[in-house]
Amino acid sequence: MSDYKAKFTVIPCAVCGQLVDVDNFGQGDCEHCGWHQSETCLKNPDTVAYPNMVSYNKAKSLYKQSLPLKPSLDDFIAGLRYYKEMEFEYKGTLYAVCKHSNNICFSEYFPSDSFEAQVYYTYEEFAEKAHIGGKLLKDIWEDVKNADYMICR
Amino acid sequence: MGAGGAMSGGTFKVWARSLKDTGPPNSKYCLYLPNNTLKQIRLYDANGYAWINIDFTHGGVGHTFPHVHLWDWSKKEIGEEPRGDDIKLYEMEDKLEDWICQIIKLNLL
Repeated sequence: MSDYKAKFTVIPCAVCGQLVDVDNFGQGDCEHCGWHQSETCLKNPDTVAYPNMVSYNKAKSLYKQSLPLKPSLDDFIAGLRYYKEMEFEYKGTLYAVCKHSNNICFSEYFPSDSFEAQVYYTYEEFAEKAHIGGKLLKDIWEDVKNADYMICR
Repeated sequence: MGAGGAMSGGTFKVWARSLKDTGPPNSKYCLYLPNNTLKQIRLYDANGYAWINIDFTHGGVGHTFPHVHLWDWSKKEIGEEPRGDDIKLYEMEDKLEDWICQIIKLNLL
């Protein structure tokens, strides 16, 4: 069994320039700015690509403004297009957005009776109509936290 | 993608937040929850790119577990996203045979 956590080299972070440990595939997470070093992201600098939630060029711009690398709703939807399964937190509740073959399902990550799952058929419809407690997601996005690719819990 | 040659990249068990989209060529990563529940397997192809996900558990609704996501990196070249929709195993009739053959060839499972 190989050691997944073995670090092989140290490079400057592509976004902030701080030193970051990367494995022999050039992957490593910057503890300073949060950028995940990724060849895929560097090859597509204007595209949101896993495992980062903002594009490389946007990340550099945000960092220069001393802003966190927080995705907009459009970035989140770009991530959804890429990865198909996303999550975010709003007011302490974790939500899931999953792209299936014929729809987009928006629900609580751990479904409960307090939130009825919503089904949309296009990314645009999701962006316009998804809501929590009567508030449109697009209107409360600033209060959303930890928007990211879905991890298993 | 993913075919040919014996497995050289190894098998990895990890207790991490998530898996990367590239890894050792022809390798298998098994991602576990802290309680040692297997949550995801990701197979990497001969070039080290994510090839197949098998998801055993995660949140949201509308899923059947386990389900599969196939990565097709050629889509990236035409501006499409490489990670496919979730596919129920019983919906993979047209792909399953070739998929299993490649996995056996790579000795990945």
